[in-house]
Amino acid sequence: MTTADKRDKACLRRIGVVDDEPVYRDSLPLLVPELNVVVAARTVDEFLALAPRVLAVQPSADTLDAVLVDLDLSGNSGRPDPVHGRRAVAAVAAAGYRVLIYTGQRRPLVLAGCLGAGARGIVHKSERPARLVDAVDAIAAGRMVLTTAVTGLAEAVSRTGVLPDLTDRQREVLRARARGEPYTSIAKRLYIDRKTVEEHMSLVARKFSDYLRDHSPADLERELGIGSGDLME
Amino acid sequence: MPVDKIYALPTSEAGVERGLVITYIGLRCFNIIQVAVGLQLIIERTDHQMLTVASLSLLVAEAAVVSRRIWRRGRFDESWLGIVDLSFGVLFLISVMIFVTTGTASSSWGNPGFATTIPMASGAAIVFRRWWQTLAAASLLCTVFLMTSLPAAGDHDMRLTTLTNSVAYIGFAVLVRLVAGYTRRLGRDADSARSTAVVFAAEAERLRVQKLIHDPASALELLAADDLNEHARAVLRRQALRLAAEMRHYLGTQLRRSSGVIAELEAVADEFADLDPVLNVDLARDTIPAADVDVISSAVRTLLFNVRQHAQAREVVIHAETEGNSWEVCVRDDGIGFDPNTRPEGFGLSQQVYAAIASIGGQVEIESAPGEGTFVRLSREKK
Repeated sequence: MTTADKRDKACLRRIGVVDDEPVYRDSLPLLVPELNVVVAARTVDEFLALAPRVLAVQPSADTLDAVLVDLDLSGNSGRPDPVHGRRAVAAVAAAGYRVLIYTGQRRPLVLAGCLGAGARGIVHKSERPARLVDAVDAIAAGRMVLTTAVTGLAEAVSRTGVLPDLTDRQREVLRARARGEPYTSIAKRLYIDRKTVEEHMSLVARKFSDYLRDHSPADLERELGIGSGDLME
Repeated sequence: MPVDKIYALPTSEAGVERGLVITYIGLRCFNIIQVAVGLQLIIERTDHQMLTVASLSLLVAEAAVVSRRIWRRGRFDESWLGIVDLSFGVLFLISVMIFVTTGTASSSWGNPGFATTIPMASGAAIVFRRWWQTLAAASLLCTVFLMTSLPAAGDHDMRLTTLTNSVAYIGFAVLVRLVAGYTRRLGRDADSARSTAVVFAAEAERLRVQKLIHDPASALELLAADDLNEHARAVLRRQALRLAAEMRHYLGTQLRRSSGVIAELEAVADEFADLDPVLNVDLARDTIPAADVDVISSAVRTLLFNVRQHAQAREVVIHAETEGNSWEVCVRDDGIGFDPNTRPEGFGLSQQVYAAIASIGGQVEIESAPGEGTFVRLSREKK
């Protein structure tokens, strides 16, 4: 390992991974070399037992930049682990880690429920590795990251007037993101810096997740006038 | 069973049986009320008050016991119970012969024998499974009735009334039997139709899943092969992405209960499962004219077809919003884009989208640049 490699390694984002599928635990370090997988666990319990021990022996690091949590976690028997979905997110977040949901789960209401449980962001497993790295960067910098579908949900919820104090700029960015417009395009259109656009969106996401903390997915459905039925954890 | 459930009997075999139980218990109850009303008259006229009270009480007790049993069971189908019921009927008719005064035998207020045993003929039509059993039971009641009531009938008219009444045993038994048989058949057919539908739905779903995973399985095997040349690998990777998107779309879909433009856009998205479009349509709950919905969904279909053919997109977003009569539908992809100056019609974006949207008073805006995806906005402002 050269000196340059060592320096790069030290600059890498340090993450934890909670995923029952070995394909993600094992291949993530290879697929995304920008991320340094410090702790990889199959279940939340395993992660919470392992992480403090690993971090204790690591110099210059008191925590992880982000913990990637899969929502569909199965236990030893192959059936869902008691701590999965929303509860998995809540448990890891309660232990003081920044949770990034890394999942194949697509249902916006389920994902919104997990945001309410304390997740800082969502990335789908189908997305490009670069997206994952961007999301980890954003979360490490204290921002929040939503998928386009969950942004659409946030836009719909904001129209009902329950998200307080959105500025005109925030509204504008939310509106554009819900239609899938990339940050760079919004920045160009509004003559502002890309980072500023991301900051606006992150503040909207925070207000949305504050709302979700106090409201169940059922409240959300009522608010949006959707028939109930998508309440699966 | 709570009372409201009785009124909403299930349209099943069990529901039919429950209905027949209710019919039988109902007949017995009406009959007991009839006897109760005439009780004073009967007791005044008889010379055997003890026997009268005892046999009427026994009859009420028997009705209560049988009713309770078949109500709990949910069906009146035990032959032995039918025979017990019938025996009580025969015994009661015989006891009536003793305690009823001659001359009142053909009046239902004076002679409770006929009215109380008619429901038993209906019961025999429900409880016995074979026609001959029902007919034999009804004939037995009819014969005993004639044997006990004819001698007590005073004059010619009363004998004639008694004879006419006796026909009712057979009549009730046959009619109830026909209705019970028919409704039972309906119940059985409804049950079997339901279970057939469940089997078919499961089978259709199984075929759908088989079809869905057949191609990806082959693609995975091919991709894992050692001796894959670069060209084949490139083709397979594109295929793999498309197949993965299709499977993801399947994983993301759920039972849909939408209507209007939302339902139409969902249906279009399902047709383009390989693009797995993100549907942000929660703001499109206001109803717009059905003709507009048709035009919009057909335009979106054309747009998605272009994306599939040319864009090489990773993410496609469909956004819809309605308010009163106005609407806006956006389709954005993050694909390779194009230069609108050199190709004003885009990817052969056919006249039909422009013309069709214009025909319903709407407009089309297209934004694109090479490498920056394509954004198409269809809209109609408030009129």
